[in-house]
Amino acid sequence: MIELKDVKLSFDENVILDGVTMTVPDGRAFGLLGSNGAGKSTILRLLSGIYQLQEGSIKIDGEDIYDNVKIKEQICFINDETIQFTNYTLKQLKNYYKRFYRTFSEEKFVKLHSVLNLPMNKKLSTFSKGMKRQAIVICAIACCTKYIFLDEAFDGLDPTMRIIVKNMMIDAMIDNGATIILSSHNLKEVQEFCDTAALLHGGKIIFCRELDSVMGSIRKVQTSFPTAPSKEDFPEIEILHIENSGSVTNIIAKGTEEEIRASVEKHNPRFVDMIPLTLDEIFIYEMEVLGYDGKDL
Amino acid sequence: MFAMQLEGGAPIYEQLVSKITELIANGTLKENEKLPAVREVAKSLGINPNTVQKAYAMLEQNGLTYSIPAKGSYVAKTETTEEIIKKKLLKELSESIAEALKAGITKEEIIKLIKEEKSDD
Repeated sequence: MIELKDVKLSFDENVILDGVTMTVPDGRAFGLLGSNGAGKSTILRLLSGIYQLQEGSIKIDGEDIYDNVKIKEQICFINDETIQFTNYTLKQLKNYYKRFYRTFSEEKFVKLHSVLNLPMNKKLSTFSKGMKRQAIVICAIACCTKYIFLDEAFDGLDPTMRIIVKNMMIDAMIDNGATIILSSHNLKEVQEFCDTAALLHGGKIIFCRELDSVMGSIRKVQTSFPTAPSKEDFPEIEILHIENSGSVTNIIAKGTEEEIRASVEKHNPRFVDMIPLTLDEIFIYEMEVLGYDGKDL
Repeated sequence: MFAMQLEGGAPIYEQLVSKITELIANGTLKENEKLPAVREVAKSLGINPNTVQKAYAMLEQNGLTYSIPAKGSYVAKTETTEEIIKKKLLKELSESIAEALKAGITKEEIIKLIKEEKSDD
């Protein structure tokens, strides 16, 4: 289990994390979401023991991470940056990982490698961006660690490779009970692949919840009333947004389908169409509330 | 493995539960038939294995499936699936009736239709 308590981190004057508290139970696929510069990569680097903790506490299985070999050999971090490995061949890279991880499985590596078309004896500098990423992903997954962290998980991978990487992670979860944390801008992928997600903004957690409870918690309602209503006409539900355009009223509201329908139907609507928001839309509305939107453009 | 299209908003385990319920109700999945393995469903839909597990647990809770440890989930006996079909049809019927009433068709007209249907037997 991973526990962060009131974690604060700044570089010089810049506050990167401003009191982050969250828990990742074992066996989860956890998605870190957030605007650019929200602090996602910083959290992953702290969790991997790359950055030293300044304030607060981070425990993995009850222990500190920084300089803790026992915990660190259970963690594999796939950085979004691959430049540090460009002078290695894939064979050298594999042996590099193997040296540090006692759980490294040669058999697993051979199996993963057989799915991809990557040369073993060419330097990574001759690889395309996607190939470099693939090379590092298979080395990391072959480490068979309890924790796998991926920064910008699906970045630079084509649709087929995305599926392959996802399948590798599904196997790791089922076979090793792996806990996965991934950061991504691809909300659809997070929505499908993760069971829990945290939304970060400006170094703070906006929400950290199971996705099943996030999904379906906000609904978009298209309806039409004899007279155009305002927010105050629906005291029973929390209205995030209401807009009258012609005779049609669009409402974004929090609540279950029944709650919202009951409140809306008090005003004799001509029709009521209701659809749950996608994670993409929830992200945009939550960020809009915080003043992060493109409206001034 | 069954095919399904994930939709944007609703929780994925709910979508999975209703899809499998539908497949049991319409007889595609038969009594004592094994549901696809969690790994297989997770991979073919690109979703989290925990989510599939949750859907399978929910199906078992609803009495639609039973599980054999270390083997998997199986479709439960058909009495329940017949009940599901009935429930599903009744729900669709009540929706159609509500729509018909809204459109101005009277209750008497609907009752007349039902009576005519009966005499066809």
